[in-house]
Amino acid sequence: MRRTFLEALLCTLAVLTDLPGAAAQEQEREILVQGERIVTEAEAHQAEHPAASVPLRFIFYPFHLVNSGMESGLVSFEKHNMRERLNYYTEYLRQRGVGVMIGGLGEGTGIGLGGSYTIKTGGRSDLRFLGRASFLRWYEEVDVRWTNPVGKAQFVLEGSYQWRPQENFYGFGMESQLTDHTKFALRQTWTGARGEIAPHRRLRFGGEYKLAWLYSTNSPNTQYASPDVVFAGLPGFGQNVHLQSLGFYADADGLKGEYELGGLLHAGASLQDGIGDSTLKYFSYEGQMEGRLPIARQRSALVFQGALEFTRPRGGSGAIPFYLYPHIGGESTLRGYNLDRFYGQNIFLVTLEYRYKIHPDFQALIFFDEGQVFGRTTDLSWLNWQRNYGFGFKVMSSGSTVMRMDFGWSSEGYTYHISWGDRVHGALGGPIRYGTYRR
Amino acid sequence: MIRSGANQPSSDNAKPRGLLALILLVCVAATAARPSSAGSPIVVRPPLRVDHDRRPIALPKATDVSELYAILYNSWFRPLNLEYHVVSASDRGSLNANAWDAVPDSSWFTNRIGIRPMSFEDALAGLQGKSPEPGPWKIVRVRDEGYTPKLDIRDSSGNGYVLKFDLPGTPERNSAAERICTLIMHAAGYNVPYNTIVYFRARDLELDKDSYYRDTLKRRRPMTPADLESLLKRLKARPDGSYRGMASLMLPGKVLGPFVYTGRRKDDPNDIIPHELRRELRGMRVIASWINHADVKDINAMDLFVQGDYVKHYMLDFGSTMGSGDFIHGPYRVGHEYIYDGAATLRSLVSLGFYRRPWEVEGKIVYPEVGYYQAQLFDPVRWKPNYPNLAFLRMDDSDAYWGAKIVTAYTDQMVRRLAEAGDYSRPEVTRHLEGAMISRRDAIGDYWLDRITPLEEFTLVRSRSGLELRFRDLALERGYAEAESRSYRVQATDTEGKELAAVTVTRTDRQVVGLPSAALQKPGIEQPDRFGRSPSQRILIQSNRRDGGWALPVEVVLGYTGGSSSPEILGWYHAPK
Repeated sequence: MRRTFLEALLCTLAVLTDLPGAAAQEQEREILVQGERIVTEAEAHQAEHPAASVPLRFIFYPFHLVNSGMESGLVSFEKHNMRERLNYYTEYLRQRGVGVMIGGLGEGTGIGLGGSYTIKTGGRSDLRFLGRASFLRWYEEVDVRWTNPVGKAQFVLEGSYQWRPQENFYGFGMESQLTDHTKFALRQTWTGARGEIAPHRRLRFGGEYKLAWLYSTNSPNTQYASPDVVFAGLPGFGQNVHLQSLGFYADADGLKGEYELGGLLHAGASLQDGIGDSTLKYFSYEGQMEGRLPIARQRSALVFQGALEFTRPRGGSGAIPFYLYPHIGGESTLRGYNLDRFYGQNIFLVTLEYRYKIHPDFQALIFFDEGQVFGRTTDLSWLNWQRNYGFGFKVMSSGSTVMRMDFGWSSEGYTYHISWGDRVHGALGGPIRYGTYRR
Repeated sequence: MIRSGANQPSSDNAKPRGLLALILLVCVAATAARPSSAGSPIVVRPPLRVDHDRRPIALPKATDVSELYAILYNSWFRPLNLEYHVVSASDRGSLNANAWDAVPDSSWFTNRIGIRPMSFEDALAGLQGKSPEPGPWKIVRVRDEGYTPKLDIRDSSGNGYVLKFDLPGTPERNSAAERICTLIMHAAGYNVPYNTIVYFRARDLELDKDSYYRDTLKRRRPMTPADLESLLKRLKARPDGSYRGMASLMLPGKVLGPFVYTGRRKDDPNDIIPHELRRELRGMRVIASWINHADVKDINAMDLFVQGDYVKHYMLDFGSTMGSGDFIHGPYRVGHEYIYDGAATLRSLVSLGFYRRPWEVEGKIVYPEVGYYQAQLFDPVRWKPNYPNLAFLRMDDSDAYWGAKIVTAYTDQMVRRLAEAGDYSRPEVTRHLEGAMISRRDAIGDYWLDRITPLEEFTLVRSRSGLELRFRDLALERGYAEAESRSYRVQATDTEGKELAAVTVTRTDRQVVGLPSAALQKPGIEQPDRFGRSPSQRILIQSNRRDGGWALPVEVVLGYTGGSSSPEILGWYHAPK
């Protein structure tokens, strides 16, 4: 928009003489351009999408597509208060004794779903029914438990059925070969009673009696050989095993916080005794400990964990079924090895881990695990360990672990584990391979 | 340009990683390799004080946004998008700066304290609306959301308000922050609702005949006296039995949902400028850093279709400003780190957890009424909102200077009155807040008005010694530079970047520099632009910095308009690219 000669003259005069008319002229200039936009649509478009970004726009089209899908989904999620609804209905169901579970039945069992129903049976006692199954690998579990707390003690009656179709077996001992990887299926049914007393909130003593019916057979996963094909005469394979067990245990839990000085101890012993025609009779002993030493205040800690499991057959005992031997390997024991990589009569396991906070919701860790399986105590070697090292990350929420990712390296290569909840090395739990999921 | 400076705001832009970084470098080579300021063609921004974006349009569609998406996308996914890095590298500055390096008035922003002195009374008078009339307030609706319930009420004159409350554990905190920051944001130039602190007794609240209660599942049912009683039980009464609340006057117009800090509203033909390229949003980072408005996010913004049939853009919800935003990993994180801060997390990861954030050690809350709002650990460059905001990330030196110009315009007297507007019961709390606000304001002035040559309102004056360039030096006027040592370095070039005269250095506190006559010889002038202006020369002026160097320059463009034969000032721009 051009200005008239008079306007230009006035403006020049005003500027050169610093007359007060300069401001008026500016105003006048504005009037001339009234209705104008500060930028044209074309200029704005060019600034928003510069030429250099055009090829990338095509390359990243799938990214945009996923992104806009995520946006629409989350907008809808929030618009309909889905989070609040989820919390509301979860609480609604919980108050009515119904629980919903998402997750597997332990390491290597795949993702699953489950539900529980709890009935109040008077006082503080309740009766819980639980059922769950995992997809793809088809693990199944049904569990019934009656709990009756009395003061500082509680009495529990429980029974469980589990179908675990894809368990690993590589043979016995440290010399077992990775190439001898076999899979078997295990059906275990047990029932029992347990009594516990907690004289202090950090101290607990208990005893339990169980009856178990166990059976191992071929795995439906035909990609792997059956154990009886690779390991001839494997005790317990294809046989029904019926036994009873009596055990005692003690727990002392002195853990305070993730990065605080503390420790825990667990010790247990049990006697397994075959029933019916079985001549099986052996003792199991176990011990676990953990110590945490803070390094950087409230941000890191050095964690030491150790575990021992001994199996001692009594004179005249029949052969112990192979799957009842202690085993190590996997996310809760040796993280650089496959799940249940080593079976043996006895195990010794040590872990050193440095955990540190990288964000209120995330923890990083560097670990070193070593363990060995051995026949007799005199076979325990201070040199012949299976070792691995690695690192991992945890997603934390309100001080507890939501999810973990561990990457471990060992002489057999590397492996990674993605799992839910805290890393817990399950206690023996009597004559059964797995209690109600504790691993 | 901020992204290449040594002291630059931390930004995701500066963190391309690995292979992505390599590809990125190749992709941006063409756009990033731009000529230096002295050699680039002169572009004078439009001489508009008003951006006419209030033309009548058809009613746009209401939209929704997701906060979860905004956190996830901005914290995690956007940095993975190569296109974003290329576009960022191509950024040539805010699109809506005018010839005088200011933001024109628009449906987004109205210049107030940034262009003229304002008293507290001016700010108060300018805020549209009024407090609810005393007398019974009819409760229309209860929204049981957030940390405390919110009531929609109607006063005796029929005006609607949203009544919000402080958390029981931190009385006065959120309501004071909201009141103070509403006034600050209004004086700065943003559209804000009328928010005021109110006191009432239980008997002042009455149920409307149609009042209803909407729970978290959005289920609606008539409200009962028992609901009201249970609601009041969740609030902390004052010693005299009254309650304190924050009343927010309902905004006029049809609600269209929040605006986002990136892109445009596609169904608003007036909204042609991408939001991340709007100076009032980019430069708001500096204002937000002053008041610790870390909760700047899409859902705290609002578009309204108002009388005149256009979309007006509002800023809402200042209840988490100052030290009030302590809900996620807070309170000490707020302002120092994003909720998910990649750089800080990486530092912790690499240092094996030994990296200790300064605020983890030194952060402390002096008064619960104020929360964690302090000046000791405040860094105007490294201040961060709760999660990355694209407009803030795109802030460059020009935008930061614009923001700092506004922040430093709040005088000590004004700040005192603002702190008093929080209506704290304890005078020492008011004094503490006032001190923190002044210290933070000065930290902003000390940094940005030192880094960028803070000259404004240039005029060309003929004197006995020749032509002079007069200006206002904001650093001198506001006490961020010493008068005795104030110096300016002046360089004159033609449109091609060729020096017209030797560089001169003038030591003066008179806020004027002389122009060499050679600089004003009429060279070959450019073709006039759409406003009839033909740039001919540019004068680059740099002020001295405290560390002995020179600040980023302000470029004053001289030229001719119409058929004039004498040069005049066509405009100026701070820290030109």
